[in-house]
Amino acid sequence: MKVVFRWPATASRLGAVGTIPPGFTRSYSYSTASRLVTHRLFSKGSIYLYLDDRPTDQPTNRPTDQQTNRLNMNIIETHSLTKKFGDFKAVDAISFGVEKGEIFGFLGANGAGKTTALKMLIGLLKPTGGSAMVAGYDVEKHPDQVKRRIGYMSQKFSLYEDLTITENVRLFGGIYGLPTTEIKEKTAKLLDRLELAPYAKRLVSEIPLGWRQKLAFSVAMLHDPGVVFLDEPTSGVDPLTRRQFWDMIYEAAHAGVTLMVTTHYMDEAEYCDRVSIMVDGRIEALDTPGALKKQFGTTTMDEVFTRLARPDQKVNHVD
Amino acid sequence: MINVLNINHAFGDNQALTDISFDVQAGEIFGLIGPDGAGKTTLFRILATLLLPGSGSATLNGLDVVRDYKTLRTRIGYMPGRFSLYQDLTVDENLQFFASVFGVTVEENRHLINDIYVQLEPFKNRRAGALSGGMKQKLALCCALIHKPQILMLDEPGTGVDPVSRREFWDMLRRLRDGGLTILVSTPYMDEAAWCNRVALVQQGHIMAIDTPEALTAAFPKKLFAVRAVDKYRLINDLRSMETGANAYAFGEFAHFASPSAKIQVADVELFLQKKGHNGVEVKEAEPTVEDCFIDLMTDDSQQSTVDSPPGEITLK
Repeated sequence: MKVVFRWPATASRLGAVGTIPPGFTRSYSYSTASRLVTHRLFSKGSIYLYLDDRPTDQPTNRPTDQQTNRLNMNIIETHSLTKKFGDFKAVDAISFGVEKGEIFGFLGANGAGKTTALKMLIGLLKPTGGSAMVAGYDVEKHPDQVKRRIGYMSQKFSLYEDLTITENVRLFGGIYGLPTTEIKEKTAKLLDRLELAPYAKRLVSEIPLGWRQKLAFSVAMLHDPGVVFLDEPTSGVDPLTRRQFWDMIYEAAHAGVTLMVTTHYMDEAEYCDRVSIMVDGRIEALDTPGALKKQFGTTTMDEVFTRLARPDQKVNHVD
Repeated sequence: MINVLNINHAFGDNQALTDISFDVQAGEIFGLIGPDGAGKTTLFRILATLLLPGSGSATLNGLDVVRDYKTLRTRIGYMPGRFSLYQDLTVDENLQFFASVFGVTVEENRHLINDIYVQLEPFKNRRAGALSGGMKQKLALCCALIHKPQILMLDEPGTGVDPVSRREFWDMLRRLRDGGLTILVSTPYMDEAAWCNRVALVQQGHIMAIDTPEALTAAFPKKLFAVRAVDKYRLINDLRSMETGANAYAFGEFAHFASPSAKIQVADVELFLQKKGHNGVEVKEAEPTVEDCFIDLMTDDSQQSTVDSPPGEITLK
């Protein structure tokens, strides 16, 4: 289920908040996770009008700006992105694009270069070649702008365990530069939505891992980023919570957020709109799970992965 | 080979283990299957004589984990979940160090690790910290085996490891088992259960079930279907509403629908979904996996432990 929106080239701007023009029907609407921005498209035959009712008093340092909402454009785009460590090419000229609202699975064996590629995309590591645009900014030239517009959550580190749930939300809200009143509002909403309000004063170390991961995901989206990077978010999580976590991923994608997810669970590869598989620094396959299975003549993503990760050997399945 | 009897352990108010009892036979791979936080590591630390149990007892090969801890330590190989070798020693230095701690030499026990060591040999002079994840794991396994233990204990060896490397690691474990070693292993990956001789499904410090993986899946109390439709997320919600006690959840490219009624047929599910207006409906009976069993047991237990079960489900509207 992909919400991809192509802005018709013929669409013209309707202006500020108004009513639906007579004879037009609403043909599309979407909103960001926080419902701050809503665009609506109306159509009559082949004529399209769009209504732009973004609040005008938007603070400029907020990520819900035109850059992240510009349509008909890949929100992540790399061209021959490369990272060399000495003579070793950890990431070898990868080129790909991810659309707005897409759930993009980023797979690969250990050591294939996923982490290095991710670090470049989130502005933590400078590329040695090629380029990457994330949320409208070049990761090499404007890493700080990129960081402001993305969310990041990893299985290894996500929240401060010796702070309470509320303290964590407040801390991250502050780091993202949200005003105090908004942090308060968002904290209440978030706790309500996750049904964590009764546990607000508990230390994060005291709550089960599954809750922690859901909370971490919500915190990574606190500043309404256009893109969220999830690095093995469900590792070690129980099977029920793992599925609830994916419900949250879908909900975010439905609201227009782009999600780039790494996972070692091959069933989760099936839940992505498109999947890329890295082998030795290169992207060896990139398509929808269905098309990849067709391409490799297999019935599961696990087999696709095995074929790519160990091309020169037949792996004996232990069962 | 391993006998665990009524072990309880608490950290402050947090009851980590409740009444854990199980036996592991000589020469089998016994898996503790459960998510992080289920208590697996606490149990491992008790069995590895690194933590005194709150109550209850355990013996490994007749040696008590409390009374005989010194002797016991020479009989077990323990590979903790976190990489715990010396990062600034080389591969060979690490091996030699662990051999010398146990009063053996690498040479006399080389045959025990040869299979695995050949893959490490190209890197034998590299510092352990500079190895890739897969190689670190192999080195840790070698170090846990070098003193010729009778029991090998591996705490989550598969975490963070890609599925192919994970399968190769399990191939190694099976070869070690076939060589006569008794293996206790923990994992949050449900699919790894199929590679164990017997498993205990652990959740929130309780053992929910112990059996062979085959017996566990055979005892799955519901009728299971694999269902597909265009609108996957509405599909899951609709299936949940089909009858009381039914469960539905995503399972790879299909959704699994577990029905409490034995009479329900593929055609019934198809008809129900067509009435709900679903397109591209495909329904077939499915064989339950250990993951299906785990989910079923978790849902059954959800009333008993209010504090630990998730506070509410988040479903996509």
